[in-house]
Amino acid sequence: MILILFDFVLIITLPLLGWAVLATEDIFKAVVLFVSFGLLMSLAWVRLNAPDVALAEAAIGAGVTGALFLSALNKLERSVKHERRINRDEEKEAINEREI
Amino acid sequence: MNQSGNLLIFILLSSLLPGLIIFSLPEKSHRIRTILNLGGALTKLSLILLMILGIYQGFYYEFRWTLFPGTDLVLNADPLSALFATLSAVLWLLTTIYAIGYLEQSPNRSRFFGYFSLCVSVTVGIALAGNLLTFLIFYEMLTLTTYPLVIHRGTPEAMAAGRVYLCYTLGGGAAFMAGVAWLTALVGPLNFHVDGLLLPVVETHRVSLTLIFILLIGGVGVKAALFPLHGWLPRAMVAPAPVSALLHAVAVVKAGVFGIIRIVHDIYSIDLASQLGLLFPLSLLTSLTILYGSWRALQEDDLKRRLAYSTISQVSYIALGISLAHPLAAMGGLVHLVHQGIMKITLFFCAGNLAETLGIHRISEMNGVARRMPLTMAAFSIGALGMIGLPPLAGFVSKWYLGLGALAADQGWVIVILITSTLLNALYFLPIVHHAWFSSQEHPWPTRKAGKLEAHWMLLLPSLITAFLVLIIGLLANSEMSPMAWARLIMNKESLQ
Amino acid sequence: MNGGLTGMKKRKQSMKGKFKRKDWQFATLTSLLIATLVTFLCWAILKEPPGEDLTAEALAPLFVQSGVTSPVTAILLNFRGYDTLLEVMVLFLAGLGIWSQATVDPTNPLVFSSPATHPTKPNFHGPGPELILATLVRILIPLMVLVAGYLTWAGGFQAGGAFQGGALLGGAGILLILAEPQRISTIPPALIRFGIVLGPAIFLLVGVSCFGYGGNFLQYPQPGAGSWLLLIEFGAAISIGITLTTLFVGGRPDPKRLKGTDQP
Repeated sequence: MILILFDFVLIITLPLLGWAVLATEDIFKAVVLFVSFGLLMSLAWVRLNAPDVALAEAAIGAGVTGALFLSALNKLERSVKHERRINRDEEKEAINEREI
Repeated sequence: MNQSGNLLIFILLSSLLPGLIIFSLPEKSHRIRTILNLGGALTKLSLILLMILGIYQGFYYEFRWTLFPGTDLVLNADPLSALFATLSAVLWLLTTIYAIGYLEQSPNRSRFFGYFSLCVSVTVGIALAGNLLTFLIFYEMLTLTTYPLVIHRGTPEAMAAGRVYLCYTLGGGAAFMAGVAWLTALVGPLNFHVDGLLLPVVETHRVSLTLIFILLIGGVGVKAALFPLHGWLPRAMVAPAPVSALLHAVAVVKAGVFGIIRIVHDIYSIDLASQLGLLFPLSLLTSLTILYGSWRALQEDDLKRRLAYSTISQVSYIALGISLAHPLAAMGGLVHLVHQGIMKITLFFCAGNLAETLGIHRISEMNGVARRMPLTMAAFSIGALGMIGLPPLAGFVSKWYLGLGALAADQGWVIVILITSTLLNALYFLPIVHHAWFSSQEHPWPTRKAGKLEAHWMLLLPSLITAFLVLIIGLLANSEMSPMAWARLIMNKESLQ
Repeated sequence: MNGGLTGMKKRKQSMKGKFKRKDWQFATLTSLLIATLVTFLCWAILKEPPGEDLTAEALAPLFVQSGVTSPVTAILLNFRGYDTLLEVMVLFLAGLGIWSQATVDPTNPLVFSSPATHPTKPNFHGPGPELILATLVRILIPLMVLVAGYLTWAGGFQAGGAFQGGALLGGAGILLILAEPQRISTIPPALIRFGIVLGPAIFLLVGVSCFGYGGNFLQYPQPGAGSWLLLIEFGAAISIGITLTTLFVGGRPDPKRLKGTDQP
């Protein structure tokens, strides 16, 4: 009985979480939601009698992929900031040249 | 038949794939080419050793692919195939090292090494062939893959030699195919491991069987350089030294004589062949070749051509041993397959060393060269003495068994042939050795480059290794791991069947 | 799934609040197709039960021959060993791909700063987060390695195996790099290469040496099959761990920045 309830909660939560990952506008929030999706997914694998896959999902899907996403996000933001600074400098130079 | 026959395919692929990749490499990718070459050679050797381990434990490897109903392509691993395959793989490894050093400055290396790898795949395919049709297919492929190596230098002389080579070998191939087709039409698929193939037709088709035998032996005899089909071999010496060393002293001629062994032993069987009266003419022909080769060698001044005629003579020892219809002689012939291969390759490696380092191509230029290149000449001397048959070197063991077998088969005249040929060998090898060591230099050589070794290490090391093998194989011929023990195993299995 | 999610995320970012009519059309079409697929799958699964000869009881005698008691490992490494070999090769290729694409400065592999690389950041009095991180790493990483080894070995009789142990090792590697990124510069790249190659190489070698026991490629000899499988699993676990860590770092060590770095 308890297990059926547990399965029910999983069945409801997983698609909702999936939709939330897609619907949020902030990428960082999406990554965090994705990691939690992975953890719940590994619980689902356990319920499907596949403990090996659950272990792998938890470690790789939630752990490694989450770390990869965050690292990529950070490098992306750094390069965007860098570009914005370059653009700003270029604009300043252009304005200076026009004034001269 | 079991699935483990895939090992044989792996063995073939281990040099085929690197060869195909090497064709596409640009000229200057020296490192990748070397890695592919040596990697392929080592892989092939380890896979063949694995196969031998399996054969030793009693496993049976066979690969069968149906071309069309009734004819299969069969690869098989019995002790005789393993002997030839191991010889090819070991000598290919050494020759690859040699060739990398030899061709360091030459153009078209990718092309060379590509065809080189293809050649060795095809040779091992010949060794592993399980029926005569598979043997024929790989045999013809050997012609096609060795031709570009003969004409590699591209000089008019090389092209002419290539043309002669093609005429001889394609003609022989046509005769071989005619024989195979005729025999298949008579008895069906010609498996090497089925006894009594020809018994149903012996009484009714005696003449046909004799003619087929002549066609088959003529076909493989071209590659085995039997008289009078030997004309291509001295001319093919214009090829670079690694080609002459491996292919024309080991792979091609050994493939030919391997064919003779298979035809006489496995297709016709010794009893049937002597019953049809085919073995005596064969032993006459091979004896004639032995004497003719040695006599022509005496008259040559070019070192490689003299060695080529010596090959013609020595390879016929093997055929003679097979044709004497006695297990002892057959053992001598089989083990001479290995011994002669190693000794001849030593001699050719040293000849290549002399040509590359000092520009020596003729024997008259070799006076006193041992002072300048002692290690090379030491290896040459060991090879030459082994060829003559001096105990305890390898050549002595095989000649001894040939003599014993001749006596046991009541063919005492063969002893006379052996003695005469030994004398002739001495006559054309000993003066070279003597002049090299004891005469003083007459011909000018280039000055010695600064460096500790007398020649490039890649040219020196293989010749020293093979000379060492000549010594060891002769000394330890009675041990469990020597080629002699292997030949004995093969003959025991044959006589038990 | 990951690729699809990332793609969709980017698309969402670029179109904030601008839902046009063709987007609704696209969305309905996709939902219809997916609904059809799901219905079809449910119908297929519920209609045909698995065959008689595929039940666990029928396959039990085969599992005894496989050398391990866990059915998952038996199928993965013994009955379908060739597929697993290809998977290991795919991971190897992925590692090769990352290595060939980018170089990473080994003294600063992660571009963002972590407390361990900038200990001079003010605002904290006394021991700060870097101490906690360092201590945690020192305790956790050996434990993780131990558990990874246990998982790999335990795959023979319960849940576990090479991929699970390798994933845990990969996690350990990532934790190490996050905590002490400059440690990468002290590892010789040759060792990393060796680690990446070890798994596929052992798998191939074992497969080929099966020929020496009279079987086909990857047809293990009967009595000792379990130990061959264990050998393969350990090699694969190490390889998977190192490859996952390399994927996280994102490139090969830049040879120009590798010489003469001090120990931290």
